[in-house]
Amino acid sequence: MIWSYDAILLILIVITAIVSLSIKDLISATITLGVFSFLLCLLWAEMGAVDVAFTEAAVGAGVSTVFLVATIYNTTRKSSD
Amino acid sequence: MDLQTLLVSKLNYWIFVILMIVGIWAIMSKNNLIKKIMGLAIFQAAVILFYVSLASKEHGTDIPIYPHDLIHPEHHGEVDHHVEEDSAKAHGAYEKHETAHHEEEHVKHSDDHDAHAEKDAHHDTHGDHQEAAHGVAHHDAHAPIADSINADDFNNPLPHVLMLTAIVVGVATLGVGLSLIQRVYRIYGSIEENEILEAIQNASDDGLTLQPEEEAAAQQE
Amino acid sequence: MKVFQTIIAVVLGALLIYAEADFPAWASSKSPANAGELSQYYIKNIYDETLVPNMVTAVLADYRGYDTLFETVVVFTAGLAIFAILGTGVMREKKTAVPAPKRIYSEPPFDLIVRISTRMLVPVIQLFALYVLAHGHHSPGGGFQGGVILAASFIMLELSSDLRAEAAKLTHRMSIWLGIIGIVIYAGWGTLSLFFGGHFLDYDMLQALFPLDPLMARSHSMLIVEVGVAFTVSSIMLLIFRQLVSGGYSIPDKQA
Repeated sequence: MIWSYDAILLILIVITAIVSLSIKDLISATITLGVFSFLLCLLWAEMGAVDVAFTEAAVGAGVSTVFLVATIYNTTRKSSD
Repeated sequence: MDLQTLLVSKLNYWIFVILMIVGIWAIMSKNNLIKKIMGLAIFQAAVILFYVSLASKEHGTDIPIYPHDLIHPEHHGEVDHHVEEDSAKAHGAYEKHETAHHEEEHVKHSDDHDAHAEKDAHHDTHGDHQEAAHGVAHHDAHAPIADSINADDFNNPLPHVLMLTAIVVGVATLGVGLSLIQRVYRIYGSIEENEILEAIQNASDDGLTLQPEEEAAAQQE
Repeated sequence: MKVFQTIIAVVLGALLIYAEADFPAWASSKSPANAGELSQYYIKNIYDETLVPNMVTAVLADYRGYDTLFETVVVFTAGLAIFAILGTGVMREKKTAVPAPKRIYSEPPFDLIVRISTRMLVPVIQLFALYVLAHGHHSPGGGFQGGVILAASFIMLELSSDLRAEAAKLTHRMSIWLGIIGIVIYAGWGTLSLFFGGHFLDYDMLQALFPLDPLMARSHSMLIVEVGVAFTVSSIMLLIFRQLVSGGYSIPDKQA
């Protein structure tokens, strides 16, 4: 429960979220969303919720990124905004 | 109050609101369907941040699990005692278990009556009647520890439980949303919202008619 | 229009931040969530009532077992919904802007390093997943985490080699059957205690089946129930991946 880690992680999380929504290439946006999930996992672990961190690492940074990449493979990779 | 105290006490909640607004804005105003789904995922993460922030305590431990010496407080001295004695005999690591419960189970499961008799002799030779009595007592009823726990030392486990299932269900619904996007792409040819709306306007004259499945399969071959 | 949406979002955010002035300070022990009776009761009494050191698993599988049963059903229903949406890939509509591909699969290029290294990693990952499932009582883990890691190992196998060949080994029908078996294990275990005079999902009554005291009966029942959850979560995650990555074409037309 070190507060300075908390503050740094929170600010990084907001930056990553905004960046992943602004990238026009969808694969890069998906990977940035994966980074977002990893940072969330660190934040949960720092706040003392290790079960939630474990689940977020397995699900958010693993399986969810794979689903998004699979869908982008079957549709287009470019987005207009 | 000064800035430091204000920040410490409220930063989590402010960031939660900011993330939620980023997510809602993305769902409303992004043109690409996949970006909308990403906004939904960010919104979901913000709500989970809120619940987990509610559950943390200043001096709480890192893990919501009871520490080992709180659960088995009496066995520590006896473990060391038996470790020294057992290494002389060739009992192997199995007898050196910390809980008498496991020792009892091992004794029950082993068909070796000699080992059983030797174990009793082992107890008697060392005069450690407390171990045998405690072993039986541990199997039947353990000493309740509810009074020795200060609730401020542990994080609140209840929101963690709710958020655990929320994450897994969230990824399942993400899968449903993505499959809908694939279907929309196959029919309309794009995943940009404005192009889809135009295609709907143009297609309303032709319409989409249903066909029996064999004819559709024959058409594709 | 976009300006209007941005204004709405910003106004909503400002209102919420204004309302947060009344929140108790973060991480204080005196806030209503932390000082309430329910969480104090859980923290003090979980070990005495269930003999499980991990508080989160105990609440998930015993105290809130009913919720977890229906979360499992929700995951299964999402898998069925994806199956219904993407299905067998053959669509009944007459006009599609993107025509269905004639050749569904080209053989993926044979890459020796990827295949060999995946073959070495997959058993280790599966062993770790089973470890996480079994040690949910004593360390962070449990059914959901173990199930997702198990699914990830199968996904890795299918990513590194031919999807159609792997899908023929673990068919769609088998995936759905495994999902059903998970729910049947969970709900069946709860129904079993009805036969001994207890409530649904009341694990105390199972001491009539095995010669255990009620506390150990609860501890072991939690493990069995988590196994059910892991079955369903792993098979449904695998099913979702297959349907998404192949656009519904991963099963031949004649097989349901």
